[in-house]
Amino acid sequence: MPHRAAFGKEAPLSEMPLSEKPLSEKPKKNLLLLLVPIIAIIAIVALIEGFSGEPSGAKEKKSGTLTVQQANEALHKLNKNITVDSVAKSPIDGIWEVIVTTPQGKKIAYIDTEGKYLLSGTIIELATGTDLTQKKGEDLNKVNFADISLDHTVMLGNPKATKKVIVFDDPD
Amino acid sequence: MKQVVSKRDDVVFYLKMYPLVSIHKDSYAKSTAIICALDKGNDEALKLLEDAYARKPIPEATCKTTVVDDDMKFGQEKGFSSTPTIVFQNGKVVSGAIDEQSMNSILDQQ
Repeated sequence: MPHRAAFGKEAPLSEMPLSEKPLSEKPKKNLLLLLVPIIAIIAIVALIEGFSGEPSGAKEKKSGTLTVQQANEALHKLNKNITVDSVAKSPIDGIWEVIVTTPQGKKIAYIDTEGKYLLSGTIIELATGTDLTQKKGEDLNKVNFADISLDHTVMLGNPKATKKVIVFDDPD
Repeated sequence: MKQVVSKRDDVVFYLKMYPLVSIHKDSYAKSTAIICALDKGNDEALKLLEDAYARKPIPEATCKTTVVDDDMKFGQEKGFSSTPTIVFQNGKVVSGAIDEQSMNSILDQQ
């Protein structure tokens, strides 16, 4: 297919000089000379296509990207309370890791390049058994301990203890 | 938490009142009452909190304070949606209750 497309594109060019040069004595020879570089171009294009090793259709799909805006639009179909913070490649081809802010904090979701499907779950690296999603999620929701005031809190345990834990709890 | 501190003295819990007002209507008033009780000392506030956990009635708030509102605002900004939400010194946040063993193992990593 790429051959035809390239030829189709170049063909009108090869005809143009002919019609523009009605005075030429040997139009046939000129046409042949003109065809040489065109054939060369076609050959090069074919070679490049060959090296990429994939049909051009699949290539386009693979290199497609999902933008923050596209991800936002896709997710808003599901829930308007979700805002996309960032989009990055996930370890799986064609699946994007989307970090979102929800009323329940920051979460990780996975969306395909076309923004058609949402994958809700965790990615586990089989070789190591590491839950990559959980690891990332913990980092996302980390809180700076020092940001939280310890004034006006009810203490339980040894006030001089070195290990400190803050607990937000409902008394009811 | 009580079990943890009864067995080890290298841990202290700082308890903040985080009333889930949408599902517990009396929770905000109780929270305020407990914070006010801190004026009479930590033991008094802790006693009220334990009474509240045990579902015993507790006296009304004896002061006006924005402490509970401030903590609710902070928690909401961070997306704390369940109680207890536990924050460790390394910044790790655990949502929901965890058993004694899990608590100890996280504490030992700190």
